[in-house]
Amino acid sequence: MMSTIHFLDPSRAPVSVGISDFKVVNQPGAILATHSLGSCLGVTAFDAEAMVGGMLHCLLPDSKTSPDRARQRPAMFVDTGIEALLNAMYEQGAQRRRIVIKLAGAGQFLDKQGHFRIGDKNYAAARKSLWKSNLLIRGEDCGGSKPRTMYLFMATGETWIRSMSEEYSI
Amino acid sequence: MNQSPELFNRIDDAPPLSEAAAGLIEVLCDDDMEAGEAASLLAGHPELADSMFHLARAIHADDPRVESESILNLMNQFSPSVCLEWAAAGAMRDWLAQPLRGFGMAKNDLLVHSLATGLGVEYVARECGLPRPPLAFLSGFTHDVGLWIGEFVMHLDFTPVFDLIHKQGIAVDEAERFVWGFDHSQTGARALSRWGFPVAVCEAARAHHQPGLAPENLKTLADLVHVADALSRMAGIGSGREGLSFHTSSDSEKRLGFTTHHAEMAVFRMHDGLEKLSGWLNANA
Repeated sequence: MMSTIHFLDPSRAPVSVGISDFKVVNQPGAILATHSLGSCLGVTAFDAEAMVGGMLHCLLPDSKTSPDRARQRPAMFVDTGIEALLNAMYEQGAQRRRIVIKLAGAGQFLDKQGHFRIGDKNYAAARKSLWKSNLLIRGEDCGGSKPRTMYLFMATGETWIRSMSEEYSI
Repeated sequence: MNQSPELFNRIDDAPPLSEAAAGLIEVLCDDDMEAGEAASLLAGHPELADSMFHLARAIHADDPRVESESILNLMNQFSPSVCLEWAAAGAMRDWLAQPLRGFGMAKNDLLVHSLATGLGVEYVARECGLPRPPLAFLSGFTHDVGLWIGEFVMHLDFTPVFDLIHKQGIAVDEAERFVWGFDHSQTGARALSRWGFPVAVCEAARAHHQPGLAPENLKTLADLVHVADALSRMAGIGSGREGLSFHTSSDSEKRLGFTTHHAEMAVFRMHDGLEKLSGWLNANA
């Protein structure tokens, strides 16, 4: 859907989710945002009935890269990040069967060959983790070379993407 | 498009480095330098000394030598080329921290990208089992100074460049060459040369999007800067409107023996390394 983020109230600053970070909120007016999604993966999760929403910005696919770091900072990795995000949402009353998951990012350079394929691996790791958690992906905007900023609007549960001069919901 | 000499020559309007930094770079590039010369240059410039001190401690956090209490003690323990890296990066910090509106980069974005790439050069070398090349950090740190030159010295209009990138799906440096006849690698290299930086640093900046063009003796350094730059952009560290609109060199990957595992480990270390530099960055906020 091509439109504008018309409900982005300039007087209300979004809660920013940094690289290797996640946040869970339960305020109906809150907005979560994460910037500079290159090969990183952005995940939004929303339970309308419990009014609990969360956003995750993962850097790398697999916590085996550094199990110690994954314990300290689970959101750095897709596998431990999704688990941490979901657990934090469950603690606030969200239920798995109601959670709507959306993904963005996992971009690639212009060249399809070579060893800079972390975006693909992040995406594959997310599908695997969500499948194991019995969760479907309800929307996504992944791949390609464009930069992305991802928003979750708690008022509506919508996930929007701002990329270059475009804004659209997924 | 053919290069417009008039446009390209605007680089010559670039401001000089501070007198202290320029003097320090000159002294540290001199093989016959004496520690006293550097010390006397720093004596009257506590801000530069302080910036160098904190940067040195952050970059070499795992090295027991950084426990020293002063920059002069540190300089006595590290080689002149390493001290040169601290001086040059310290001198350029405030410039690179400025927002680049043409590139859609907020305050500190270019500085963080520069730091990540500087650290990344060393991490990629380590992952690939290569020795740290001389001036590794500085070559990564300065590779994109041409972006700053384009915005603040040459006052270039980036709109047609991004129109081309978005409509035709080409790389940033290709679009720049099409629109202006030169790209930010060339402008950065020329500015660095004018400021008296060593040849290796200038050539690494010039070749960071086309590492195959680097002189044979500097190819490894150019490959490392190319790969570290790509990893930093991939991780979204200080990237702007260009996203991932770049080509990566499979020849560089082959020459370095670079693998996806190396990429993941280097990105991981880069992220952690930047956290250690947060104090230096925040001092600039």
